Amino acid sequence: MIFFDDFDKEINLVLSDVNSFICGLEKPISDLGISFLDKFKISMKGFNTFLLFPYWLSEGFDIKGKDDVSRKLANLDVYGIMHLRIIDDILDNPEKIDRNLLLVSNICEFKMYEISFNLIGRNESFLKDLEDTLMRFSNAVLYEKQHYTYKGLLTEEMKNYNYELMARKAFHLRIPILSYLYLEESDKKKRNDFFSMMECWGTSMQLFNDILGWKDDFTSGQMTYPLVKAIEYLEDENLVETGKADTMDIAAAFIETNILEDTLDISLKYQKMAIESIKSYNLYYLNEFFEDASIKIYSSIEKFKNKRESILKDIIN
Amino acid sequence: MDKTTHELIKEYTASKEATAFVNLKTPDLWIEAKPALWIYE
Repeated sequence: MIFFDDFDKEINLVLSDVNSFICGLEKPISDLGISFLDKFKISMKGFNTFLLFPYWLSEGFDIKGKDDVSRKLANLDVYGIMHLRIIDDILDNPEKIDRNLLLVSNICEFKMYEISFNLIGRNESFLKDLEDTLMRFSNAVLYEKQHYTYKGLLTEEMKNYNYELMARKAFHLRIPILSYLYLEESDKKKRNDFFSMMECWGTSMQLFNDILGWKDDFTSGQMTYPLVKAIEYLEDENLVETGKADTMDIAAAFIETNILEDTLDISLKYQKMAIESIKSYNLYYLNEFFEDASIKIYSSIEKFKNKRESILKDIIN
Repeated sequence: MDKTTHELIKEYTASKEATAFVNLKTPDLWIEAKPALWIYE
């Protein structure tokens, strides 16, 4: 996306802030943190999006010292995503990851709160909102671990898959929104609009990720919306015995049905709802980013549909 | 879909190097990072 180039300076400033803080920690924590960040920012394609989110958001708020506030909140986002990623990876791969990373994660979490408290000051409502955000996040993670781990049986919870709940895992992005709302003393409507944007964007992201990562998710027993639909189809049509679907069955189910297109359609619907929620606030960059995402989701639907139909034609002939 | 066709589609899928063609090319959107890069092998 061309406009990422407009933010080279901001990206470098924020990365240098975070790097210099982590470098100042004691060894080996500093080495571990720097090595994690270096690999992470390359491997995560959306890294710059998360980093720049506070800059893009700032266009919609009437506050003093926007550059400084955006930079601090962008720092917060980087610490937030590092904190979440480390926790998630340790939960998913406990035997493979250096557990000292937990210390890095703790420090990152502390930095998130330090930044937001320095910006907002002592404010009971803000603290309450922060607590609610954390509770929602923890509940979503817990729900996922308890109800969406596949052990050969599709449960009722899985069949009624709640992708909106799973979107709450992106909680670190809620904190910059909260911070801007409190700094501006925004009204209730604006608060609802921005949170609605966040929920819709999160849901759209989640569904798209579920499609891109379906193989890894299935192998690790992590149920997602398209996987539930695929297994349900295979079992209902008696194409596999209960609990016996393998990766190739799932791949075939995605060719035989329109499950992937449907999932992408839902993802697109939420992306458009995110655009709608903030359209009255003139957020040029965020809007451009969402529009670009919509185009990419739409073209993925078309591409996949055509590919699927041509494969089916080939095989059936 | 009948079971025979399902098995045919599975065979076809296997012959095309596993499940590669059921995957979408990753666009530069927001993709979650997979941990593989920092896992100790």
